[in-house]
Amino acid sequence: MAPLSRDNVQSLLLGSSLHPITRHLLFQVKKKDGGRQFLSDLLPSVSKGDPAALGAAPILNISLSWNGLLALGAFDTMGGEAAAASAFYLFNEPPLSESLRASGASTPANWWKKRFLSTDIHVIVHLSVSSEDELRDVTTHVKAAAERADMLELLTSAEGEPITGRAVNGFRLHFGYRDGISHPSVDWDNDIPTGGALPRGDFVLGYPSPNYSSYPDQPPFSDFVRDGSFMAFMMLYQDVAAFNRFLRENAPKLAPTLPQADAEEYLAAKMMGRWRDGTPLMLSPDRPDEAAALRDDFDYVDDPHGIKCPLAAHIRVANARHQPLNDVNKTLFPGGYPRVLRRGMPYGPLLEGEQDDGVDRGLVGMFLCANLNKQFYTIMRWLGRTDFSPVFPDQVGQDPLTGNSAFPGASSDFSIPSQNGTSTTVKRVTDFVRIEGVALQLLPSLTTLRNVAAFA
Amino acid sequence: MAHALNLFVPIRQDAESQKLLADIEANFATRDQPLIEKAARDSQILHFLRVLITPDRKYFVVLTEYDGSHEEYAEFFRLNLPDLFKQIFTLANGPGSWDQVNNEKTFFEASKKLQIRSLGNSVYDEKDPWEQTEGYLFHAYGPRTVKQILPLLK
Ligand code: HEM
Repeated sequence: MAPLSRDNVQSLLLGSSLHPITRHLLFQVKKKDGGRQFLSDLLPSVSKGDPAALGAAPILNISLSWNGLLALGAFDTMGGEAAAASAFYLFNEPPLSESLRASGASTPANWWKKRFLSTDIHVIVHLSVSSEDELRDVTTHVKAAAERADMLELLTSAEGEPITGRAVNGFRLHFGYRDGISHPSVDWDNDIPTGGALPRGDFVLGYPSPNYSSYPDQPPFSDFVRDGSFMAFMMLYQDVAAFNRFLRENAPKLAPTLPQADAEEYLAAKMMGRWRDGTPLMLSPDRPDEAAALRDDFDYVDDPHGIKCPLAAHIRVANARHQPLNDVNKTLFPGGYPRVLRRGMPYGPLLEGEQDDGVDRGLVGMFLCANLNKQFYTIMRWLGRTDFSPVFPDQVGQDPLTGNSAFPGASSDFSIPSQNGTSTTVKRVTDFVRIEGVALQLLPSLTTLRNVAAFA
Repeated sequence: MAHALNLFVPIRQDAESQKLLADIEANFATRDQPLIEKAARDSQILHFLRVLITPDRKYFVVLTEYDGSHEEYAEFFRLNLPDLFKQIFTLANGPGSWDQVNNEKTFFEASKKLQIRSLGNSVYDEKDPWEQTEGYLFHAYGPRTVKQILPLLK
C-alpha cells in the first residue's frame, strides 16, 4: 500500500491545469521506429505529478490509443497483439455507439469532420500553456519532433489548426456555465481510502477498487497499465445559437412573471442543476449566490420530485449522489453512482445571440476512469436515457443539455416541477450538443512511456 | 427498443456433462425458473426470456429480448443469475470454467462469442456487440422499453 509515486503519473491524471490555453495534437504512427523516436523526443517534456505544483510552465501529456500501442509495437515483447487483446476490455474496440447515444448527426460516420476515423488516431499530445507565444513554441517543438519521426498529423479543421481550447470568460463554457467545480475526492496514497475519499483504484490502473474491476488484471499487461488511466477523449460541438433561441422561447413558459433575462437564467439553471455562475440549485433554488457558487456539498435526497433541481438536470444525471438506483444498478454499482475525472476546455470563439456563424465551437472533454464500461459509458448511457433510477416518471428522458433526440425511443421533453405541484415541460426541437469524435486513450505512466520508446 | 440475445452455448458431449444437462432439464421448473422469474421481474429490462436445449443436445440456448446496452445486460445476468450461468458454463465446451468466466470482461466476451446473429437487419439501426448492424427483431410496440410499457398496463 505504497503512496502513489507522483513521478510516475502524468499530470493530467492528477488534476486540471489552470492554464488558459490547451491544444490536442492528433497523430498517426507511420513507422514503428519513428513513433518510438517521437515518444523518446517528447519524454523529457512530459509533465508528471500534481499540475498545481508545476506552476506556470507549459504542460505536456501523451495518450496512446489501442491502435497506437499496436503501431508502436508496445506489446512485441509480451506476446503481441493477440495476447494483449485478450487482456484489455473495451479499450481495444471502437467506441460503443449505442452507449454513447451516437445516433443521427452524432453518428460515428460523421466524426472528426469525416477527415479520419477514431481508429486512425494513435497518439494525442495534450498541451496546456499560459500564452499564445508559449502555444506557438511548444507546438513547434512537438511538430518538429513529429516531422523527424515521420508521424502523420490528423487535423479536424480545413485551415490546419489543431484542436485548440481557449478559456472563455475564465472557467465558463459555451452556453455560459462555469465548469470545473465538482471533482471526485480521491485518496491517491492508500488502497483503502480515508476521510470519505474514493479509492485511487477507481481511476488509477493497477490498484484495487471495491467498486470496479479493471482490466488488464494480470501481468505483464497489468504492469504495463499501472499508474495510468483510461481516458475517453471527446470533441463535443455546441450549438450556441440554438441554445440561446431555446432559452428565449421557453423561459416565459417556465417563469412568466420574471423579466425575460431572469427567466432565461432560471431555465438555464434548471437544465444544468447549477446557475450559470456555478451556484447549485439544491443550495439556492431561486437565485445565484456568489458565496455558494463553488460549493459541492449538497445532495438530492430532500428533493425527491425535482422541485429544487429537476431530476434530469445535467449534473443530477451525471452524478445523482445519494438518489436511489434501480434494482439492476444496485447490483452493478454497490459503491454508488459511477464517477469519472473530468478534464477539458472549450474550443472555438465565443458566440452571442441566436444567429449561427457556421464556426465550429464546443468542448473538448476528457473523462478518466479505471473501467470504461462501468464509469464513462454508464454516465453516457444515463445522460442519453434516464432509466437508471426509479425516481424518473419519464424513463426515456434525457439530459436536456447533451441529449440526442435521434436516439431511438428517446424523449426530448424536459420536465421542470414546481412548488405548487404543477410542472412545466419544455421540448428540445434542436439538439444543442453533437458528438464530433470520441477516441479511447490510455494515459500511460512515465515508466510505460519510457519502455515503449526504449527501442528507439 | 429491445435487443435480442441468441446465446448458443455448445455443450460438452461426454457422459458426465450430458447427465448434468439432464439434471438441469429435470429440475429447471422448480429450481431455476423461480430464481430467473424473480431476477427478470425485478430487472425491468427483460421483455421475454426462455431457455431450451436443441434436439441434438449439442446446445443450451438462452433467448431473450432486453433493453439497454449489451455490456450492461451481460453484467446484470452475471451478477443476478450466477447459479444458472455457473451450471451453463460448467457444461460449456470452450469458454473455460465458471471461475475463469465469472468476471465482467470474460463473461461479456464469452457471451459475445456465443451470440448468433438473427437474420435480416435491425429496423432501428441498432448495433450488435461488435458494433455491426444487429439482426432483425420484430417490435410490436415500437422502441418502447419494459419500464415504459409496465406503467401503461396498470
Ligand atoms: C458540451 C457538453 C457538456 C457541457 C456544456 C457540460 C457542462 C457541465 C457543467 C457546467 C458542469 C457543472 C460544473 C461542475 O460541476 O464542475 C458539468 C458537470 C458534470 N458533467 Fe458535464 N458537460 C458536458 C458534457 C458532459 C459529458 C459528455 C459528460 C459525460 C461523462 C459529462 C459529465 C459531467 C459530470 C460527471 C459532471 C459532474 C457532476 C457532479 O459531480 O455534480 N458532461 N458539466
